[in-house]
Order: sequence, then C-alpha cells, then structure tokens
Amino acid sequence: MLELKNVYKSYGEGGQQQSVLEDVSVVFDDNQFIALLGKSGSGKSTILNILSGLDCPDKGSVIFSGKSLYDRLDSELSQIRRIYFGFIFQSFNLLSNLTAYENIEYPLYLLKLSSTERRRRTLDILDHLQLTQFQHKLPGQLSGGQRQRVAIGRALVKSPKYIFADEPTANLDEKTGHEIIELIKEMQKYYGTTIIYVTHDSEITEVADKCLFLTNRKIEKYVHP
Amino acid sequence: MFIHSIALRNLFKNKYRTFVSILMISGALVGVTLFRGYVLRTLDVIQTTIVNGQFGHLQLGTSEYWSQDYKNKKDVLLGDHKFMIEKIASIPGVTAASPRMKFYGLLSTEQMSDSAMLIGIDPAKEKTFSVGLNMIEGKDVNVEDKKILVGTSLAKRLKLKLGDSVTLVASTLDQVVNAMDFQISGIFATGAEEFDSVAAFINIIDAQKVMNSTAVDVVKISVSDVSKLEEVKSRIENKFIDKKIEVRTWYQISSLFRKVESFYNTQTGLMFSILVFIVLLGISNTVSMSLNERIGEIGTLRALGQSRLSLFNQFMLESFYLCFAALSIGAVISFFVTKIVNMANLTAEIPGASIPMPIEIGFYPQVVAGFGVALFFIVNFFTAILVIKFIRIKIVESLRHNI
Repeated sequence: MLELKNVYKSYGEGGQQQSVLEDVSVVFDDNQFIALLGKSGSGKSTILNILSGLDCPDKGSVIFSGKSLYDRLDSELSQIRRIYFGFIFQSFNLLSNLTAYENIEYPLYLLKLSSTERRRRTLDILDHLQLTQFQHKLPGQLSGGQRQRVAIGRALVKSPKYIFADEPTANLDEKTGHEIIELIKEMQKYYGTTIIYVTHDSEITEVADKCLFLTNRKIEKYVHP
Repeated sequence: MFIHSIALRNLFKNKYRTFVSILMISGALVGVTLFRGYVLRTLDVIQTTIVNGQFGHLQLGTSEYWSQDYKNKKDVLLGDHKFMIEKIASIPGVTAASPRMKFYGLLSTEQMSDSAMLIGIDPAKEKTFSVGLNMIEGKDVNVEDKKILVGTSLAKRLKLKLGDSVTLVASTLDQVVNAMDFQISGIFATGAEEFDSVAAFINIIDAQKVMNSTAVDVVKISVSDVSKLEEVKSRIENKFIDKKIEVRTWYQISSLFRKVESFYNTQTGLMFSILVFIVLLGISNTVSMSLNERIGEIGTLRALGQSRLSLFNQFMLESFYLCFAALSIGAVISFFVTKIVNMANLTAEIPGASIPMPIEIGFYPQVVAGFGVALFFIVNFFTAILVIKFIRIKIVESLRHNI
C-alpha cells in the first residue's frame, strides 16, 4: 500500500513561490488501476513524482511498506524503484541506442538477474505485447505506439508492485492512445500490478478502478466508477 | 558484458565527438612522448659524448682533490697510480682504467696565444676504452711524445692545422714557470662546445714533465655495464677503503650535463602541463556536451532504479574505453613518427654543441606508458568530476530533458 500523508509541495523561491499541493492525503490500494485526473498544471505529475520517489515533498510523507519513502537513503530509494516501481513516460524515454529487446531487458539487468532469466522474461513480455518481430529494432525505427508498448514492456518485465504512468497516450493519436489504455488495463489485470495513471483525458474513467480528481491543489473528488 | 556493450555503443553514438576526443588525447600523448623521446635521445648522445670524450664512466681521485679543499695541488694527487690502475683493472665490471693529469696553461703560436685546459693521457691505456675521441683531423688518441690533440674550437681560435707547432707555457706544481713545444697531431670534436673550445690532449709523460711530477690527478675508468655503475663504483671504493679515495660518476663530474638535463626536464614538464591543460579544456567541453545531451537518459535510468554509483561506473567505463583507445592510437602513432623522423637523418645546431647534432627521437616504451598512465588518470579524474555533477541533478529535472 502506498499512502500520501498531508503532503505539501510548491515550486519557485521567495515571493515567486507557487503552491502546487496543499495537505494532500490519499491511500493507493494494491492491485488497482487508479486514475489521477486534473487540468494541465493542477499538480498531477507532481503527485506521481512524489509517490514514486522521484521528487521530495516540502512537507508531509509518503508511506511505503510502513516506512516513509523520503526517510530512506538515496541508494535505498533507488533500490525501491528498481524492485517495486515501474514507469511509463509520456515521451516513452527509451534508450535510443538499445534495441526494443535490450530496452525491456535493462531493468532486469539492474536487478542482476542471470542472462538466461533475463532472456526468458524479456521474450515472454515481447510475445505478450506482440513485439517479438520488432525486438531487434531501435526505438527510432518504431512507430509511436510500438515505442510506448516497448516502454510498457520495460515497466512490466520486472513484475513491479506499482507502475506510474504519466500521460502515456499524450504523444499518440487517438486510436493508438485508446489501444495503449486497453493494453495497460489488460496487463494490470494479468500481472496484478497497481497502475497509477496520470491524465487529463476523462476517457480513462471508463477503465479505471478508482479516479482521483485534482483541483485547487487538493484531491477534490474520489470516485469509484 | 551488457554494460560493456552499452558503453561501446554510447561511444559510437556520436562518432564525431568521440573522434575529436580521441584526437585530443592521442595528440597530447604523441606530442609529449615525441618531445620526451627527443630529449632523452639527445641526453643519451650528450652522455655518450661526455663519457667517451671526457670523463669515462667513473673517475677515481683523492677526496681533497674532488672537494678542491687544498692549498697545493701536489698534496692531493695520486702518487701510486700505476699500482692503483692494476688493482682497478682487475675489479669485475671494469673494462679499462687510465691515468689523467689535468692542468691549465697558455698555448702560443707565432701569431697568438690562448689559455687551454691540458689533459695528459696514457695513449696505450686510453686505447683500451671501447670508444675514443671523435677525430675531425689526424689519427686518434695515440698522442706520441711532444704531440698534441686540440679541440676543434680551440684550433679554430688559434688557427691551428695538422703539423703546426705550439708552445705550452704552464706553472709546475711548485709554481715555477715551465714551457714545452708540441706539434699538432690531431683535431677532435666531442660535441660539447664548452670542452672543445679549451681542451687539448697530450701524452701523460709530457704532462708530468711540464708539471714536474710523477703523480696523476685521477684515474679514468670504463665499465662494461652502465646499469651497474653504482655497484662497480662501490667495489672500487671498497678496494681502496684504507685510503682517502673517492670515486665519482661521470654524472657527478659533469655539471654541464646536469644543467642541460634539468633544462630539458623543465621544458618537458612545461610542455606536458600545457598539453594537459589543452586536453582538459577540450575534453571537459566534449564531455559536458555529451552529458548535457544525456541528462534525459540519466533521469530515466535513475527512475528505473539505477543507483548513482552504478550510473557513475557506467559513464566512467565509457571514459576508460575512450582513453584506452586514444592512448593506444597515440602510442602507435608515436612509434611510427619516431621511425620516420629517424630515417630522415636530420641534424641541427644546438646551443653548447661544437658540431651539428643528429635529430633523433628515441621511442621509450616506459615514457609512453608513464605519460599514458598520467593522461589516463588526469582525463578520467576530470571526467569523473563532471559525471558526478550531472548524476547529482534531481531526477525530475533530468526527466524534463528529451532522451
């Protein structure tokens, strides 16, 4: 279980400081598809970054496995991200000089798994995502949808407890975006992973188990569709 | 293997930048090793000149003679030199030993006079040295009675030719003026202007007659293995432990060589510092550019859970490969440039040399390795500083950059 407790966050310095989150508290249950909705600049991505250990809150805490995430050493935080967290970015963030196969394999390499185990898991995911025929292609040789599927594969391959998806369909056309949402939902069910999905697209409410609306620096609505 | 493959692919990602970095590092290695190779080869030539033409490998004299702490020179000379030479010649590692008597006097022709440093030598024993004097005119060091060999610059000054007569005027050890006529039998050039402009060799018997003494200044010694010079030196000193005897190496005696060596070492150090500075400016620029372009990648890898240490190692691995490639290329280029320059048989007038010196560049693997290791550490140290700076950027800030 992941929990935000009385989290505050602001950007800028001195008089130009702008508050983004104020006293935000929310619990993210396991094995769910949770959508975080809000207008552009409402602080959705900030919550995602704080939740995933990428950005420290000004005040408040993030509880993971009963302990505050930010009371840990940087190396411990890296380890948590390495083992328990997966990421799907809006711009895919694939390593340009690694093939689709190698991009998916990379998190397993960080987990120091044997090459045999890495190969087994990577091929399995490639097959599941119907990317086997593209496995030797570099990201630059793939379409936007294919790239995002590789990114989903990279997030899923280590079977993380949580996957943080930051507007993963924003750079895709509507049809491909819809396919990607369906794919993420399908994978979430299959792998039993918790997906925390940030978007401004209300279409997500159709597939999400839980929707959180962020307005005025706070979570205003907490909807169970 | 995965991490090594990634490191190499990252280097090939921007081929132009990698090429420029390799060019800078290898260029620095080539520059400094060629210069050092030239310096060491030149010092080697000077050393050979000094050893063969002037001092031998070692010289034995009394302690007072070396310290010049005496009132009358005759008190510090070697009286029993014949016995000593026999003993020295029997010491393992010694190939030749010959007496020397040095003094200053005035050499006069009918037209002019000039001061000279006269060195009395034993021609028979001097011949046993493996390399003799470099004779410009005349035969060799086989100076017979009343014959004299003069340095090329001294001969030029006094307008001396083979067969000319000169009169030597000098003070005996008892400070009585003495004179002797000589005939020019040879003109030599050691290469050292300082020596060739004053030195003249005569037979030791003539020298002793002029000095009115049967003693000698020093015993010049040659050894078979220069690397064991100190060992042989100790053996000789131990042989005469009961006497106030001191053996000095050619390096201790030749202040000129030490000055030249110090000058060249300073130049090498200066050149290396300048090259390192240029390389660091260039490398820090290319590494910064490369890291700037990879901020997004750094943020992504950190988000995926790669630790700072692991990222640091990954970037440093790339730097190691780059340096290794650049230094290997630099070493190979140095080797071939050395061969080409030496094949060209170039010569140059250098300060302090009486004859044109050959421009030769030595290829010394230890020099290449030494400078290579120094460059490797310096470049990687500065790369490490830059890498640390970049991997400390906040992940969210890094992720704002495109990958």
